[in-house]
Amino acid sequence: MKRITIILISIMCFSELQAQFIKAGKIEFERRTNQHSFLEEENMFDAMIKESMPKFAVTYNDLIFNEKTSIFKDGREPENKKIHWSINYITNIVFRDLEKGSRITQKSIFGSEYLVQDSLLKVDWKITSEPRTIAGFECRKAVGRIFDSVVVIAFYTDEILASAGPESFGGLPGMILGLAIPRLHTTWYATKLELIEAPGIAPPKDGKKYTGEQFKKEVNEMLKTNEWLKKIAWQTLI
Amino acid sequence: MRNALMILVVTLFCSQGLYSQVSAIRGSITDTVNKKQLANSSVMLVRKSDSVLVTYKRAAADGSFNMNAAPGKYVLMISYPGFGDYSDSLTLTDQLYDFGNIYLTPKSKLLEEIIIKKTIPAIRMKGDTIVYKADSFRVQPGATVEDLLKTLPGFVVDKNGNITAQGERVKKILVDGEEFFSDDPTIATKNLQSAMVDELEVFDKKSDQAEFTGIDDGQKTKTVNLKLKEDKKNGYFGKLELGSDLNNYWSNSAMINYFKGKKKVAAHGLMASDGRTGLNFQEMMNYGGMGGAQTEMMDGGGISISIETPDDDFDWGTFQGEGLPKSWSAGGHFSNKWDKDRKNFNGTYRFKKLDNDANIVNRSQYITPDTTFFVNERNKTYSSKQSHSILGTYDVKLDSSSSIKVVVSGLKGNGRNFSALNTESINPEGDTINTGSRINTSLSENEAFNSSLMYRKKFKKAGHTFSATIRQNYSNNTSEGFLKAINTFYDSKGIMVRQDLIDQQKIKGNKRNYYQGMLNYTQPLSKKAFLEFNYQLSNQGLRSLKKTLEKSAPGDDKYEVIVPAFSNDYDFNTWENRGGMNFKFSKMKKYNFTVGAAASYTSLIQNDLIRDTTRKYNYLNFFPRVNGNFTLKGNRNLYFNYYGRTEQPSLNAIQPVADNTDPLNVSIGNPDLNLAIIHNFNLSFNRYDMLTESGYFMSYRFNISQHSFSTRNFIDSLGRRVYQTVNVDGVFNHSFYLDWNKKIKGTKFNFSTGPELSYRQDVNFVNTEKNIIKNGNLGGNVNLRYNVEKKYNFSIRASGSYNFSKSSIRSDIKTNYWLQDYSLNYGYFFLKKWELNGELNASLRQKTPAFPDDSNVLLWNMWLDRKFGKKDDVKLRLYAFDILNKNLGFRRTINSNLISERTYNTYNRYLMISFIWNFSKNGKPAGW
Repeated sequence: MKRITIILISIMCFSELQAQFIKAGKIEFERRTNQHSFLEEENMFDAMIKESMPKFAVTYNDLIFNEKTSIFKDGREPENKKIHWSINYITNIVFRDLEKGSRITQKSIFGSEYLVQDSLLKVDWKITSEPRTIAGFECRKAVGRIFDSVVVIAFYTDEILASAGPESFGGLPGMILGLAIPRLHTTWYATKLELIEAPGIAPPKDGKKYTGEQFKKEVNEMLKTNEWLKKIAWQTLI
Repeated sequence: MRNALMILVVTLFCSQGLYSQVSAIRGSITDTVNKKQLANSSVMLVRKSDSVLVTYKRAAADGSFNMNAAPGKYVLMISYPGFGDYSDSLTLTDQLYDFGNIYLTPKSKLLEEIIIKKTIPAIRMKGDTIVYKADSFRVQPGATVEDLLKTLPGFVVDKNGNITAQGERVKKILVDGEEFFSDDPTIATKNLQSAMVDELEVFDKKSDQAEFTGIDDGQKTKTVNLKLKEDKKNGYFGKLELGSDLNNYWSNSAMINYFKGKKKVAAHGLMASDGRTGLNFQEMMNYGGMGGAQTEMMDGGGISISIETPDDDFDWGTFQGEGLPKSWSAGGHFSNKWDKDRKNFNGTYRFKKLDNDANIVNRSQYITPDTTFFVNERNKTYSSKQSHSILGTYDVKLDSSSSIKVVVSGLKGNGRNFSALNTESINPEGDTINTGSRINTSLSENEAFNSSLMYRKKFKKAGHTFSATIRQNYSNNTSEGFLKAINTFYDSKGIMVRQDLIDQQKIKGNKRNYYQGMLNYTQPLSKKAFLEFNYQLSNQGLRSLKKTLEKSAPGDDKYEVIVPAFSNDYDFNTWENRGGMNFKFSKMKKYNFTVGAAASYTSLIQNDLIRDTTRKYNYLNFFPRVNGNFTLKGNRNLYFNYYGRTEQPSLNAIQPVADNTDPLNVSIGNPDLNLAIIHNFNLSFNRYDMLTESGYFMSYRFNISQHSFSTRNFIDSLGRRVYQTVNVDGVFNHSFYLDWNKKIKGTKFNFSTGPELSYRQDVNFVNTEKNIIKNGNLGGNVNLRYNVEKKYNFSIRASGSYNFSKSSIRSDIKTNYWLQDYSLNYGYFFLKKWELNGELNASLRQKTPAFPDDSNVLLWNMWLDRKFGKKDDVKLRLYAFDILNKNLGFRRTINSNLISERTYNTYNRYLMISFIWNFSKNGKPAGW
């Protein structure tokens, strides 16, 4: 938090003249998912599980970035580990190369690793004027859509030069510090930013190799036979 | 950066199929006040028609920018931290569009303007929203959201359901911020009850845009968000099932779960003579209040289910015993949460009644060092039992870190039993050496009351917890009955040598009082390491009374003379102190490891109230454990554990209570028994891949014990068995299991196979000789599944095993045989409303010299469903059970020097017709 204050002060000082732009660093995102939304109230079994499970699962991710590349991955261990399996066991390590327009995602689905080579995620962003301050940065709201029907709300700041954000989201003129996907009952918000001069960013290597198209096809195939997975299908594709 | 953008731009062009037409935009950004070039300004090109961001650039060090886009109408937006936004619309042709110098103004200079605007943002800070409180507008009960909208000022709803708000067409309805069914707003408004809505929020996107940027994008998406009341999810679901074969069998049930917010009321009734005895697990989840099961989420997302019921026959709704039962069951459940879910109450009542008729034929072979003889038994039993039980739990969250839970349960029941048994023992020459027949009747009553109170506290630091539990159990079982028996013994020439006549009344009582206190404390040592301490103190008082009475003279009516040999009255008092410590080391998704031990000190006092003697026993028991789980690369999981324990002999083994219920099997005590030491090892390794649906599971178990409890059997020449518990060494058990499964690529076939191997050694004594029994089992299975959802499915399973058994006292006798099981399941959906399912199971058992009769079972069931109704919620079912009429109740046991086969009456061919109705409103039952 202290660091943010320092950054803030420096931004304040310069703001009259020239803004200080951030080129590289590490952002911690706090991911909150309403895990009660996976459960039905009228079902006695689910109602009982709700009792022993906090409403929000809070997990952490780190995003390390410079102007050209970034990597998004698991951060520190969550404080409360009572986390629904679909959140705990479907995670991504996302490496992006903005120059090449490429993305390498190491997906971990119930412990199996898949290495998916794809282009950057395409989101049709609508820029709005709504402001919000996140982690000390002035952000602007953009509303996007993925897979034709899933609405994504992002708050990005142009004070960070890298175009990136949580999971595979990006494509805005700056860094996404806040992201909400109502369909997934999930938000990601930046809690702190550390300035790192030259961060080491390397693409992930583990897992069975797929292209984005192949992977999507496999997931769709899997959904055909596993009805119960539909609830968490989007999770595997973001 | 530039290259990346170029790629992006090119991509955009590709998608629009416009390769050739590219227009360029150019400009330079300067600060109005300081006249400095604003490097890194964000320059965004937004499509005018839908305000989607088409491309963006950061201004160069000199404030200049260049961008390319396809011809069209756009808005150029420029932002820079601390400066007011700039925006301008433009129409791109294939010509260069040069903005020249663009001036941005620091926000400090815009102060005045901002203040004016701030009056409006004050509304916008709440999301630029008009909020209607639904309750403030009166609508008829049962009204839909559409009816509500008609009453709201500013809203107009036309006859097609189209909504206009503040003069603009509403294009989107959100429910709790989320899209409901689709983008068609009428789906939400016509289907949702007005009473469920708490607040209505109206967004106006146009003003939102214009406010900050001054861009009029021409889009006017009026959006209404319906915020639902938390407590207004009302509805019900249930099912009715009526079935009969119009003769002997029936299966009727009705279940309903009604919910209103957090309140739930469920009830069920069931009567069946087809083997159903109550709710199955899925029905328990929906209608039975989980039947006293407790579920708990563990770290990492696993769910543990523990079952604690006052009922002794929680059988998951299907009869597991022998015979043809008739059952009745009914129950009610109520639960509620209130005070922001901080308080939670659950109450369940259940009634159960089960009548059962069983005819059992049991053929056994006893192997002794010098002879082998057979015992044949025929038993006819009738039993009836019923019980009422209640279960209540009350949970209070005192604050965010501590909670109290109270559980209370009680049971009251009674039963009747009748059994008529005939038995004969035959020696290898085929001569009968004894015969017996006896009739046992009894009336019993039982009651139980249990309660527990648990306090849990979580401290600030993760993993730092404390819990304290006190528990009380009370039970009282009494019975009264009669034993009438004749046992006759013959010598080798077939001449009767002895006849015993028994005509006795038996009165039994068992009263138990148990109290337990338990403390548990976990202390984190680091983020990964924890220490866990537990301590438990318990006391058990048990009064066991058994009175055997005889008639003073054979002709008397009354049983008045006490038989001291078979009458006793004991009072047992047991104190147990148990303490333990575990060290846990874990990293989520990587490993977890536990090493620990517990010790318990038990002191037991046995008071013989008739003979006025007291015996004391003290035991010190140990329970070491090590277990670990490691997740290796490629989703491979390795798990191992070791559990060790000592086991003290049961009181009945040291000092048995004399019993003549079965005069052919008599137990005697052994006061010299030592503690048994038991070691369990388990190793498993597995891998599974979700996408390819393939993997394997492997498990190896090894158990070995020292001074384990076994029996010493004395079989006398009359064929009577007298047994005593003794300590033996050399008992162990190995088992190995592998399951390998794979989805056959490009098809819908799933294939799995694997071996199953086990080998065990048991030790006992027959007369004075030590007997080592070796049992082996080599087996395996092959499975194939094929599934096209809602069309057809089938699965085939074939399994076989070769069993061998040998005892050292009679190495000449080998019991080797094959077991084979085949099953076929199939389902076929046709003509939209029809469904045909079937299952065929075949169990083939090789005949052995001891059991030359055919004991194969071939069971084929089929059912045909026809669905009715719009939602397919009514079903007519024709169920054919045991089409081939080849079903057989059968069990084979191979156990030390005793081999037995048991056949009993079970269900045979019948045809049942059922009516099934699933109904629901606003809710659906959980189903896996």
